[in-house]
Amino acid sequence: MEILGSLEELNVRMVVMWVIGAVMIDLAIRREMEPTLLLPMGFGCILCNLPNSGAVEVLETLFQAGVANELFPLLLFIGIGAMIDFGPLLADPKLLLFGAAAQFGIFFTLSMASLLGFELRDAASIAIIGAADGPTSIFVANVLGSRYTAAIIVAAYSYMALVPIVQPFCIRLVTTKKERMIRMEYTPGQISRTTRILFPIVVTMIAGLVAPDSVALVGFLMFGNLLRECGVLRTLSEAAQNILANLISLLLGLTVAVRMQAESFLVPQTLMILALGLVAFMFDTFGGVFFGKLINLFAKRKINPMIGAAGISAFPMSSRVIAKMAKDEDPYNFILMQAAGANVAGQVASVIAGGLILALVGPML
Amino acid sequence: MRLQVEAFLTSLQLMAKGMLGIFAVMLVIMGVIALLNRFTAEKKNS
Repeated sequence: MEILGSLEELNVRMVVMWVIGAVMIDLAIRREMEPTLLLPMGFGCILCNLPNSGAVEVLETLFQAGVANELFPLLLFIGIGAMIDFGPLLADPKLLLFGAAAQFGIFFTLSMASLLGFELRDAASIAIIGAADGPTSIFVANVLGSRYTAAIIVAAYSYMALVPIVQPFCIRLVTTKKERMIRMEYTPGQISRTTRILFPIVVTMIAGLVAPDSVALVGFLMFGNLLRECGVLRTLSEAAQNILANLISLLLGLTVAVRMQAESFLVPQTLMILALGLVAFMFDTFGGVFFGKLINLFAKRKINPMIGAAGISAFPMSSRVIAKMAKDEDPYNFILMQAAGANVAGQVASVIAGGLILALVGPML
Repeated sequence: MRLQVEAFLTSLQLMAKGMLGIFAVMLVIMGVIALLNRFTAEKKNS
């Protein structure tokens, strides 16, 4: 075996990828931005961009075993479902509409990506960054066979971590101080255990009947939630929330990095995808906020349009960001529960959106 | 870089169908939750 022989194959692009990997690790550790994904991805990026890296074959095996067949994101969804409390949403079901409105960025980005010349499968995969949900982005991009999976995943998780920066900026752009100060009363409803148990089952069936391609996404998410709500599988629920979610996240981040090799990642399309990902998040926010403003044109009791922005699926960060913005404007304005309701609604809406994208775009390919 | 106007116009149809689809599904789920809340609520003591 030649020692240092691979140095001859070292090139500038590999070094650039090392820098990108280092930036991701730095963001994960120092700024604590989505460390569960960014740290393994950053390290994996370095691993896969060393000349003649022996890690590539192993990670490619893992990729085929868990990402190419959508297994890892679906298993992760069980854990995510087990973490979600749908109570605030069940207490005020109309918040579901904010979840729907905040998916506007997905379809707006689909249009922009198509306009810029991306093939439909890639445009749709890029658009799903707007779902603000890693597993959904990975799932849809893989099913559609996009060439840009790695860039899409990097964009999705990076912007999810940037929600505290992107959303306040967008909200201030389209709302007045008076609107941000609108107070909302919260009346906690008593949600029966039966409702909590039936909700995941019913949603899976509805989604499955409307968009069969979404059954895997919705079903695994709701299965996790059912584990949580049934009350008789506490250890399984805790295992899903902790062990399963952490194990899959660890493997997912490292594995996806195999698609971050310099030749395929450092292309102009990657920058365009990063830009379009930002567009997706911004227009998700605009979509939710404008829906709130639209409601206020007709509603007797005004709603704070900021909760529309919480309809993005970045749970629970988005709801905390909106609640903080409301308190910053008015220290006695507490809208966390309404924002949380919209936020979990966004989780449901984003997986439905993923299924609809597959159902609408799939036959056109 | 040439802008693909035809692809853009096609995507607008997808936008319309997609957004209508999401709202339709959410409205159905809303209705189901309202029914579940109504029929499974604990009866209040009079």
